[in-house]
Amino acid sequence: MHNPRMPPRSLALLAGIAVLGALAATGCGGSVDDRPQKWSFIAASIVEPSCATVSCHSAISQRGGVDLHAREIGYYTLINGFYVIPKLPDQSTVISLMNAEGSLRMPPDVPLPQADIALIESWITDGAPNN
Amino acid sequence: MRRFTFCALAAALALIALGGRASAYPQFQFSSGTTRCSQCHYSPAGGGLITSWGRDEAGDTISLGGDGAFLHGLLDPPSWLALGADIRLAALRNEVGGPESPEYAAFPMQSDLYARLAFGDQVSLYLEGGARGDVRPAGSSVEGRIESISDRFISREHYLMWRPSATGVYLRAGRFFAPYGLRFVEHTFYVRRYTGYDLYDETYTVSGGYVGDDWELHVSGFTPPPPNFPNPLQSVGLRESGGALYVEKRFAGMSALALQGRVGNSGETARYQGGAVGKLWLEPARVLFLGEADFIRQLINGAASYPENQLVSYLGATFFPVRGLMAGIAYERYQEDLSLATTAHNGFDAEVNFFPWAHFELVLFGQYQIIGAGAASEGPKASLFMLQLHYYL
Repeated sequence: MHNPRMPPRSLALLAGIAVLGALAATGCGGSVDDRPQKWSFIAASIVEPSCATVSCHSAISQRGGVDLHAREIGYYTLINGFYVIPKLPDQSTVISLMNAEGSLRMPPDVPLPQADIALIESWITDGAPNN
Repeated sequence: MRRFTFCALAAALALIALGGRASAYPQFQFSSGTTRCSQCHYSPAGGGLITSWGRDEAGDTISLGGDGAFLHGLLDPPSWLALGADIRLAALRNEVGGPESPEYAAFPMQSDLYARLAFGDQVSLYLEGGARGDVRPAGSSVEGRIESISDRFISREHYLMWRPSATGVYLRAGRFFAPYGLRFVEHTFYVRRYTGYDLYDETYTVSGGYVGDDWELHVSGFTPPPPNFPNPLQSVGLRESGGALYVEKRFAGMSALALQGRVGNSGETARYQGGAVGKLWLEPARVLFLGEADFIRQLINGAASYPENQLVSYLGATFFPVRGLMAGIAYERYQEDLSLATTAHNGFDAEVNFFPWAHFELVLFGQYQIIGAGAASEGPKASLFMLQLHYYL
């Protein structure tokens, strides 16, 4: 069977895909975490995309009675349910769950980076304000 | 025949009680000889109920044999009606660390019924409904799953479409994903999960565009379901209103390059994302390369002075050694914050799909994730092995 010669456009495309791959493989960023220790940031950037998935803590599932799909609801769910104890990260269940201490790790499919858990710990240490 | 049809439909309805997601296989574009997703799917951007062309392809080129037609060809619906169903059972081993890990689970992953009603040659109504799958249900018995079906019923897609011909302009309105990115079956891929296309994130959307033989364009405006809609019509995820653009140019029936953009605002967060998709089929090697990279900039109310920049990407190769079999590997990366290296997620995937007979599929899927690599105290690693049995009606 005759193998057709690859047209130049396809070669360019292959190169483009390789660039995409290289971009994907390249590590980015520094090591200093200067992200805001604010609930508004933590909720939108970490908690909602990681925890409010359909079968877990979304509005329609509310697994374990925990609804984390929106900033205000998520905040009062964590505070009123004693998952977050202001100023006491060591006694806050949310931290032990994220570190898989004594239970299945949360989230159970895509664990959080330690940097995210540390940011949440810092926010709790600061008194866990709804800011 | 009526008795058989009744039994088949009854079986499908019973399975609805057990398990959901939209299925598309971008791996089949080019590799099956088909260049447009909309040749095999009624949706102009692919996914969901397959056309008679797609059913023929399933039997003639993708599977080892069999009849891909509805009910294996035993019943031929009238031309104005197309029906279908997807049933997917899964078993998994998930390792994320901790005393309860690894966890094992067997569960109904997908159970969807589809109907498309055509009104003349240009207008159609598309309906889909099923029960959400649940890996970790409160009551894991079959009885418990059946009892909770009313809580898990959901219609991810339902829309009215004007489409005068298979190629050319179209307009549709209803509930569906705005066309964007690689629409893999596996919703856990980062390019789906972190771009607004996770499981049941479907929005109410108005979309129009043009689909031609060598290029296509889709322009969409979307909004989440109103809060007072019942749960079966609700969506999860970002709950943003906004717009999306996807334009794909195909070359020589063997490759494509697409550019895309999406803007969304949830009230809490404004997100601006843009990226590219590349597809390349190497016939001599029988390998298809798929790649996607998206840059995301999000502005969070309350933390607006800190704009967060993210990267989501995927690069995979799928090998088609013989008819009925495809095997793929992929690398994916999600960097939550480009200014902080330790927020990186790296995923390595392997998947084997076996199509022994039309309507049947066996999937072996493995994923290994390294989370937060580069931190002084490196984050957890996660592994997932999954076996899926898939049947479509």
